Amino acid sequence: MSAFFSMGGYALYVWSSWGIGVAVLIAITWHSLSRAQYARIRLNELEHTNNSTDKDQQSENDQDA
Amino acid sequence: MFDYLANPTRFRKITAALLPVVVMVSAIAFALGLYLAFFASPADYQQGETVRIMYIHVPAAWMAMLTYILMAVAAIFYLVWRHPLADIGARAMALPGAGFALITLLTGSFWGRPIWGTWWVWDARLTSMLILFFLYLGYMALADGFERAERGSKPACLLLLVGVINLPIIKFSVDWWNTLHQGSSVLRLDGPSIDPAMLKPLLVMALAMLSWFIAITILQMSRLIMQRRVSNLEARESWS
Repeated sequence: MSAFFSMGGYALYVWSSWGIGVAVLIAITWHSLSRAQYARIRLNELEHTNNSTDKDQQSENDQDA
Repeated sequence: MFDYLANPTRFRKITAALLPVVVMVSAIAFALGLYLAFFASPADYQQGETVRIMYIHVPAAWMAMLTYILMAVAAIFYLVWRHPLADIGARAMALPGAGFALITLLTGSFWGRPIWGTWWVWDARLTSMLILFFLYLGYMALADGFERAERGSKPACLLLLVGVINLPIIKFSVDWWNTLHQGSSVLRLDGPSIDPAMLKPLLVMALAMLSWFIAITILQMSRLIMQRRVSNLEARESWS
């Protein structure tokens, strides 16, 4: 087991590489999820405040997007 | 096909079905890739255990280049046909692209230190990969650098197209110049020269990163679509 973690004396390099790689992927995933969540909440707020014209706005915005 | 996908309602439907699939594929491929990279593949006869850095370094480098190609294609679609969804696509891919380039550079450093004896050298391959990383950062700065997001789209797409010149330089730098970085052992005209036991974890990790990238791109695109709608609604509110 300890032989596995020592990576033939290259533990620092091998584990740092994988650590950095996984950390970057997780950070980007977390960042994307939280920004999407924020946008969804903000959009919900706005769509509920102008309910009256909701339907035409929906279709108009579909074209804009 | 682009026009077909460019309808936002259809886009939402397709991506909603696709997202769970790519998330699953990514999770399975990561688990399998980790197993193959650490347990089911041998140490290198020259580089010992450091070869295990390859299984994250090389797929990340492939993805950094593939992402850039896809962004450049989106940029052409945006500049020629003016379709907002192409612009949104390019924006969505920039962050994971920059992430792949960053992983490539950092893991390369941790591989270079024990094997070459240096963290960094101004070698053609390393320098061109660093330029790729800066192209991603420059694109993001340009695309997001304006009060109205859409105003940054055109200059940012033009930067992407100019930067395409860097891609063949990255790919062929190891053939054109006598560099410290080793040559290709997978994407070669005469077929892979790498051992199958090492090729397998490489390809599985590449699949893991590709499917992760698709998931993030879908997430970012739907976020950007929602954001545009938010700014349209906000503009409307301030007018009324």
